[in-house]
This record gives sequence, C-alpha cells and structure tokens, in this order.
Amino acid sequence: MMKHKITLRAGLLAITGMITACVSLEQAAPPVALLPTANGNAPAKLALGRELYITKCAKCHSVEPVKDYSSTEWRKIMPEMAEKSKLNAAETEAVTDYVAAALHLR
Amino acid sequence: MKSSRYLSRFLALGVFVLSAASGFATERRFAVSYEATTSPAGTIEYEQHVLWEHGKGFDELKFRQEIEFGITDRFQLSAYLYDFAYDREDGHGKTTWKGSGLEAIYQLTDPNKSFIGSAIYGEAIMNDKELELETKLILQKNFGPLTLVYNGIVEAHWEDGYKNTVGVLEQTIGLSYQLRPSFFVGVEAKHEVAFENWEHSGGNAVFVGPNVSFRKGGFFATVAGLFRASNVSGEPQIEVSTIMGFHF
Repeated sequence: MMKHKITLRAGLLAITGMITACVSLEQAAPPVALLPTANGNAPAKLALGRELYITKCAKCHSVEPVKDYSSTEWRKIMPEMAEKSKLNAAETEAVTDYVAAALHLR
Repeated sequence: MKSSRYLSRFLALGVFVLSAASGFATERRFAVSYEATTSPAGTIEYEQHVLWEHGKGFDELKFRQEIEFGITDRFQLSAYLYDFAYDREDGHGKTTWKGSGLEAIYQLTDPNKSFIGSAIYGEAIMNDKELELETKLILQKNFGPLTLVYNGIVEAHWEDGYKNTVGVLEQTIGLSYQLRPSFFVGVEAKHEVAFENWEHSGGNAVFVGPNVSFRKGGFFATVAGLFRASNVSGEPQIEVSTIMGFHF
C-alpha cells in the first residue's frame, strides 16, 4: 500500500515536472507577425519557413524552441536537418531566414 | 514453393522501393503505438522489429523486416518483407513464416498545425494459409516536448486455410517526453479483446509499461517493455517490443 502511494506520488511529480517544462508552440516557434522584417525578409517567406519548421522539421522530434540554440549552433544544425527532412534549397533558405529572424526577437 | 514465390515478389517490391527513393524517414518514439506524423516525401528507411512475448510455458520471438518510404509529405507506404516467428512451448521450438504484406498511413491533420493530429492506417499481411487485415485511427496531441498518442484498432484474421475468422479490437495509448532531441522516455499501454468468428469474446488483455527511444545520425532504436495488468489466460505476461531503424 505504502509502496503504491510512493509510486503514485513519484508519477504525479514526474508528470507535473514534464507539463511545467512544456513550452507553447508560439514560444518555441514565434508567429511571423512578431518577427522583425527589417532585414529584407518577406513575411511570406518567413511564413513558409515557420510552416516547414513546425511540420517537416518536427516529424522526428518535438518542435524545438528556436532560442534553445545559438546562431553558431544553428549553422551546424541546419545543413544536417535540411538533408534529413529533404528540404530543397528554397525551403532551406526559408527555414534559415525564419530561424535567424526568430533569434533576433526580443 | 508458394512461399518462395511470395518472398520473391516482395523482395522485388523492396528493390523497386529502394531504387525509387533515397534519404531519410521518420523515426518512431513509440514501439507499440503509431504517431500521426508520416515520413517526408521521397524518404526511405529500413526498420527491424523484434517482439518477445513471454507467457506461462511459452516464449515467442516475432521478427519483421520493413521498408518504409514517403510518397508525399502526408502519405507513407511500407512493405513487410518476411515476417517470421520462433515459438517455444513445453520445451519444443519451431520457426514459422507469418507472411509478407503492405502498410499505408495517411495523415489527416498535422499535430503541430491542428488542435489534434490524426491519421488513418491500413495493413494487409498474408501467407499461403492466413490473411490479416488491420485498420487504425491514430490521434496525436503535442504539448511541447510531451507527446500523447491514441490508436483505435480493428483487426480481422482468416486462419487455418482461411477457414476460421478472428476479430480483434485493440486500443493503445502512449505518452513520450523528449529529454533531448535524440532521447525520449515514456509509457505505453495496450488493451485488446479477441472475438472468435466475431461472436465469442475472449478476455480483456491489458498491458502497460515504460518505453525509451534513442536516435543518432541515421539510426534510431525504440524499446517498450509491457507487463500484463489483467488476469486473462493464454496471453503473454511480458511483451518486449523493439524497433531499430536505419536510413539509407
């Protein structure tokens, strides 16, 4: 009985920890309306980049919060993940621009 | 003779698939449940499934060699090349060919774009004496790094030279948490009930247990160990399901 109570509490604690660690989709991948377009990024291109980021890039893992990685890390990540997701050159550029814009969001 | 003819047809299909696409495919984070996400278009993956079932007086090892490829971003097709099983009961072991088959998954809604992700699944496996048809409704909800999936499954088996029919209703649920993009932990559960000739139902078999999933480069492995949680005879007490995937 005591053992079951401990297991139940540990389980509830783990689930609470998981839920509090969750970030919303908008936090992980900010909507285009919030992004700076001053660097010549067309909203349509950023929208395509975000669409690909939350669909094709998230087929094998959860939607990663863009800000969890530095721009240096993204430069290493992008080529490998673009190949894995079978993104073409235009799609890779759109995701790269979206990630760069989201990194500059304050 | 008939078996080798089926085998050669499916090997030919496998060669066709391999020549038609190259790249990567979707890694699974659950070993029992399916997710609503499908492989990107033009991708290909080889999966080796191993299921060990241990029950009172018997052990069974089931093997599946699967080649999966993305037709479109929402539709994936797989070929089961040669399913076989090794059974050991009361000290005697035998290996049997279970069949070869096809599996198709069509994504209806994306879990990251819609309130809930969904997909439909169809599968057909046959050998010279048996035919199995299976259909699933797959639902998926993502909460950041936490993924919840539900599968509702209906199976129909024609056995013993297609003379006997067995229906199976099954549902699975899975929860998986992404600790890192390459490492996931979670829990899976399964409930199934079989109907002899779609009339007489057997007992309710319930299994529950943990799962882990790991991926590195072009490889992934997912393991779930399920323990029977209901008192029903003839069902395994432990099921360990493993999927290893390799990208070409």
